Amino acid sequence: MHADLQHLDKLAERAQRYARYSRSAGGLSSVIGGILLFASFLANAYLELGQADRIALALAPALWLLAKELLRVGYYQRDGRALQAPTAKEKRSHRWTVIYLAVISALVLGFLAWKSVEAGRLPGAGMIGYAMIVAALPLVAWRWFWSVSDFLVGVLLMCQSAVVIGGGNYPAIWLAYVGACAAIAVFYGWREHREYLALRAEFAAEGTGE
Amino acid sequence: MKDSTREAIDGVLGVDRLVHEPARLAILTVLSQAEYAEFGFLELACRLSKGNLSSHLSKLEAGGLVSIEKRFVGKRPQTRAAITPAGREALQRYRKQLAALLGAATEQNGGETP
Repeated sequence: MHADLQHLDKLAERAQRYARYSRSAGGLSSVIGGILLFASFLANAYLELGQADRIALALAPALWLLAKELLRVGYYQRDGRALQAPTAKEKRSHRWTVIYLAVISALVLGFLAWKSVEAGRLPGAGMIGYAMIVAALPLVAWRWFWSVSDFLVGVLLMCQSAVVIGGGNYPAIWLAYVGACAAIAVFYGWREHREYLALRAEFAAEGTGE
Repeated sequence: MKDSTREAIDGVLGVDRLVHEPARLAILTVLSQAEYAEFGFLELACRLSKGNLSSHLSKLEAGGLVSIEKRFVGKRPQTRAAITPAGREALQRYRKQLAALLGAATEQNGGETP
């Protein structure tokens, strides 16, 4: 009977660990995001960017989100989805992240609108692209940002994307900060991936009755 | 019959049989840790065959302890199950009963866990 309770606790714990990979644990996608983040800021700072390069760099967040989804569906949750039930604290922190980004996004968009009214003409294609990415930020955060790694990688990648499509560049001074954020994402992502491999090994051992 | 023995027997008889069955208990335990889980993961985690899992899910659904959603993703059928508030409550109640029984049995065994 005692063993039953222990077995149930173990089962609950494994289910919870597996479910994390539907939301807060990015695993290899955080590693990819970290590398993509540093590479895009490096290119942004040191390369002479043509129009095609700018479009390619602006697509970096989409590439990261695609990697995230493909890894979730095809690798981490390939046996079937178990959607993580966030704790009250996680829900609160997610809600505040989205609200914070929505406020920042609204302020930036308001400033752009005011500037274009003041100039008395419609903004150019670059500025419209910039505004669209800024407007998408809180929506992307609401759907995908469930961890610190997601926040660091996602926000910086999207800011980079908006700036580069708007015709600007992040200077090299940002590289130290971005490098630290990328290192955090890679470190946690790799650790989550190792934890996932351990979880799979536990499921496999259970299957063979070990 | 001693009072403690009577209480223990009442405890055993009072256990919710819908929840007590090991496969259904495993399903409820897994579902209690997620907003929902797809059929494939329940199969893996609970180590049940498709037929067995399907039959136990139907019983839990009939008892109002889980909700089941069936849909098609492309041409593939997909089944999702989620624990209901009643299911969560039944699981918590069951765990409390089990822990109480375990406590009573340990007491009767002179401190040795059964």
